[in-house]
Amino acid sequence: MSKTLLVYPEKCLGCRICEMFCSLSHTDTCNPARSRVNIVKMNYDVYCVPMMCQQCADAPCETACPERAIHRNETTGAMETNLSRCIGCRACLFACPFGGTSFDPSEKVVVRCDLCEGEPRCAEACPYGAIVYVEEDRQGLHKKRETVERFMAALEPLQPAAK
Amino acid sequence: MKDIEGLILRVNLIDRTVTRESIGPYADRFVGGRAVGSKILYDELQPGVEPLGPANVLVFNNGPLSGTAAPSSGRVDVSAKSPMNNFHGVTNFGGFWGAELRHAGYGHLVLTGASEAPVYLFIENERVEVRDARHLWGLDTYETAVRLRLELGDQDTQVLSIGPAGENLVRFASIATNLGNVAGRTGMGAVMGSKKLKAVAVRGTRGVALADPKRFLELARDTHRLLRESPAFEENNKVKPVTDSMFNKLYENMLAFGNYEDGRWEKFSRLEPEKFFPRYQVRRAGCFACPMQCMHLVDVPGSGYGVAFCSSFMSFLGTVWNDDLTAMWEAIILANKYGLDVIETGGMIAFLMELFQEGILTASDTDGLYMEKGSRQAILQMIHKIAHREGVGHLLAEGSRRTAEAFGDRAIDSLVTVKGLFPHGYQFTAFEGASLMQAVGGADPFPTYGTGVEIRLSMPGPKEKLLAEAKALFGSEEAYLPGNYSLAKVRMVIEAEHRSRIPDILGVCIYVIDGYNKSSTDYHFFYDRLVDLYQAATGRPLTRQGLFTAAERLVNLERCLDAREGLNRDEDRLPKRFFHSFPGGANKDKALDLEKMEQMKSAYYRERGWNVETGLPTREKLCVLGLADFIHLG
Repeated sequence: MSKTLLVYPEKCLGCRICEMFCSLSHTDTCNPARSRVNIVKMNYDVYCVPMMCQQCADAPCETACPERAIHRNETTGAMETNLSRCIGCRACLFACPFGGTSFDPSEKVVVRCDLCEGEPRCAEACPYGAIVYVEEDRQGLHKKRETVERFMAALEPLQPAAK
Repeated sequence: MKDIEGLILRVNLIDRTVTRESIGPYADRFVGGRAVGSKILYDELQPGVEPLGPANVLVFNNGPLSGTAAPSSGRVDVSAKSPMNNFHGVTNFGGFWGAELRHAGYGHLVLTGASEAPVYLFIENERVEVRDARHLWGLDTYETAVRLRLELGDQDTQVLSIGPAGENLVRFASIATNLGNVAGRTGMGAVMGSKKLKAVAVRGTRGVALADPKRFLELARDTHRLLRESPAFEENNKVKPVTDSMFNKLYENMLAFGNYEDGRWEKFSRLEPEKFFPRYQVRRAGCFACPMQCMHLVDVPGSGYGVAFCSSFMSFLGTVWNDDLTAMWEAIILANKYGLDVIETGGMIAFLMELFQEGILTASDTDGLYMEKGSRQAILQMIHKIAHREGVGHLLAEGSRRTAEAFGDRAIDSLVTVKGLFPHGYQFTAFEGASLMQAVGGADPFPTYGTGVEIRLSMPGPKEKLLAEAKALFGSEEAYLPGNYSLAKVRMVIEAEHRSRIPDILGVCIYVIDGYNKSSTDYHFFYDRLVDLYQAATGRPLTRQGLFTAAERLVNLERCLDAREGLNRDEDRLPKRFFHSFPGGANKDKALDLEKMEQMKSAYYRERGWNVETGLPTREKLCVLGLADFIHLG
């Protein structure tokens, strides 16, 4: 079963460590403009959300590509671009509903999260657990569990004591 | 490996010329950051110039690790001749502006001359433009950032600006980012205002190239992991960090209240941060690429949002005898929006409150405002008056020294300043090493390490690790223990000065390094790691010894810089109140001894290889450090 990145926007503090490790491991530079993950800051920078490729099941980028250069890596589950086929037309950028695909101005190619071959640097580096790497079939459960943990205090009086 | 640390960008605000220069020629001797900035000031700042005139030079310094994956690589040093004391001013701020400047390709920004009309500087990678800012003049620092981002159509642009205080040349004006990360001390905002420079808006997409990216990645990964696993990280992330640290009852034993009037304040333990923070804190916050998000992003309806940390809290609580946390927050936001140094402003208000209580001034001296201790009205209105130079604010804007002179001898007698600045609110009366650092250094930057150990050792808690460290590094436990003027302590102070310069040289944060070191038993480890990161980033050779020598060189270089402005042993003096004990508090029976402090200063100059009479670096010392070109001052 493949794994996927799960984002908790409410845990993100906007430090941008994920952008640094993403760009460093993919491009050998520290450059948010070339990072596959970006922290989007809203409301005068008070709110922050890490945004990246959602690895859609029915991926519009794959459909949009005129050269059929985009395909799913069955091992990692990531949508990958075959750069030898990519003509840099950016049709996938237009098709993506999330902005999860971006254009690398230095290399003149489209880039998106490739899940670092199954070891995502962003999830590893995030100090506050805002980006985690979880089994695809359990991501809903993951959030449910965290939600219940938050409500534990409220639920406790209703529960039999664990002995 | 050319220009790997980013270029030095120079902008002349008179003729609007822009030039770029490599850091390369500076790197061997000065490594980077604040040391390169101080060397630039030494070369380009003519001695004796008016700090608020066009001849002053304002420098923003990133470091070689700025804007990289190295932890806490978002700190920036700001330097210029200070309008508070005519010596070199230096202050450090965080947030995201510095990394953005580095991503645009620049390690340093040097501003010379002054514009006639208000301007702002726009930097987008290669594009550097001095633009009209008449429409921004008069806006506060928050409004300026919002307006510029809208105008430029880019929410990712990082904006640094001055508020009305900087525009009005208030001598302790600050420079602020959009969220309240502030370059607060030594009046750098006034220098920016004197250049008619309202803001610097930066956008960078060029990024940072690294000499050995694979090695840098592994080192950075490991360093982040070490920090996340260190006890300091856990301590930083406690559910109620503020209640556990800043407002901890134990801290009552180290804080000085009011205008250094007392070591005890009965309302301190009655503050209710546990009611304030859960209600108003949006989230924790911090700087670029930092795992230790040490600040608090607070939003109080009606007052506003922003980030803040301990010195802001203390300045508008204990310093001004205010026990209302919402009033504290309103004061912090107001000061940051107007662009005022919170520490100096809190100190100024505390000073007025004491003078008012002593009957040295009356409400008629302060435009009818009753400067009663803890008065919300007095605090908030005085912040407004100072920033706008309104009424008595016109005098107060000139700083506490000039204010005291206007109110006469009794006021001068109550003045508490270190080289013209209000010191941080610690009970220096009980901490000899911390006091020596204040005397020979200045009120800012705050030398956390040396001061921290004495203070920690005076409180309950485990001491073994620190005492073992004192013995191993300085030959005696006395180095860290309060209550003595030993040579071991002098050596500790020198080491602490070097340790606190190193992050400023590299462009990282002192609190992160200090936090890690507090819980580590290998006191050399983190400095070795920084050296490794520096080498992988720049490809330049460096050793730990070389890094500490660069720090010593910086201390000497800045001493030479100040010597040109008349600094000498006499200027290394402490306020009278440090030599009198407080009426209350845990250290109420303690006070510094003037004669012993003078002897300690002599020992310090001797250990540094400086002239004991003048307190200045000797010819021999400068030669040893490879600073022969600074000798004419020795």
